[in-house]
Amino acid sequence: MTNAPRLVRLIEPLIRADFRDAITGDLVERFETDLEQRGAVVAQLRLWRESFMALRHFGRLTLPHRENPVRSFIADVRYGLRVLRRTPSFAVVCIVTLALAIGPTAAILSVVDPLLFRPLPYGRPDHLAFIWDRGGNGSPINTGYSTIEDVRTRSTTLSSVAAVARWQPTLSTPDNPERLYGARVNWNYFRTLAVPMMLGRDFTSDEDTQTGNTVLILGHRLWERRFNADSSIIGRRISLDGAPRTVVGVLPRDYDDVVTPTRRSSRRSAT
Amino acid sequence: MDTFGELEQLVLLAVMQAADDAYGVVVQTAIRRKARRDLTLGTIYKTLSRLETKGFVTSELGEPTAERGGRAKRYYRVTAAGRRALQQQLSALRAMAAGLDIGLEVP
Repeated sequence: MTNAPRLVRLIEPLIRADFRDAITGDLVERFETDLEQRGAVVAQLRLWRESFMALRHFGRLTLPHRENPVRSFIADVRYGLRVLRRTPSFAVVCIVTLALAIGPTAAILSVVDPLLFRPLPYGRPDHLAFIWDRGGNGSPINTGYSTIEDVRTRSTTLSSVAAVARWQPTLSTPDNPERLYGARVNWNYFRTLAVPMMLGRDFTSDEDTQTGNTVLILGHRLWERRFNADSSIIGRRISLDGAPRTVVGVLPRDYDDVVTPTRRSSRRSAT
Repeated sequence: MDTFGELEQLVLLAVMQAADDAYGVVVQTAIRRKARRDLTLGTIYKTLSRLETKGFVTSELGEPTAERGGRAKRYYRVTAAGRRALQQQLSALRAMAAGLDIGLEVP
């Protein structure tokens, strides 16, 4: 009878000192009576309930009364709206201030984030550089393809040189032709940027000729949108600008251009 | 004058019923048997300490008892003020119930 249940011994130090003896003694007494009259399971269950309530009312560490956070948030919002409605001029000042703050911040962040914070989606982005030609007034202008070839053959510091030019072909399908955004690149462009294909293969050097230029690599989003992410797309012929081209690869996510090799006037290069 | 709620009324009556032996378990058992209310000891002591603050009961610690592992009981006794308040409340209840067939007998 004197051996108090472990739960009681556990909570005993947590009960307020002036009620400690009275309450824990009563818990023991109650438990013993319940054990005798109602059995072990009921006695244990009651003891847990009793202990919880004893701690709740007489615990030394009473939790602060917390209100429902959702309800208090709604109340705050409604209070804010009431204040704004009572003082329209103040409301205007608030709205203009917020607009002036949020608008430019969002605009700046949308530019700064991909430029400064996110790494370029290429292998070894810190080893990449643009090559521009210099115009008559000293400003950078696009680089001609023969210049690229010169750089490639004569440079001793660049391990790889590739060229890219913007391209907006028309995807000719009978039902729904579409203007696409794409790029013409030379055959080693993706090797230079270390971008692996998600499906199929990269271009080969003999496809980078006037006659071999009948292939294309699909951008990821285009592949999903127009071709239902069909993995058997490789080898299929697609008509771009009226000329049939064979799909040889699909770019991984984040690469959305449709790409074909170029032999013609290339404008930019990357190393 | 302070009044009290139904819970306090039950606890006060139970303390009076138990006479010289009014401590938590006894009060709890009396309320359970007669009023069919299953109150926890925590609730009962909370009510008792509220009644004590209002001056309706007094309490004192008894001697440590071996059956409770050497823990003392806290005995409660209803004060004259408590008795008066209870009488007033019950007579108000009786007056309001007089003439109504709701089972509250008028002595």
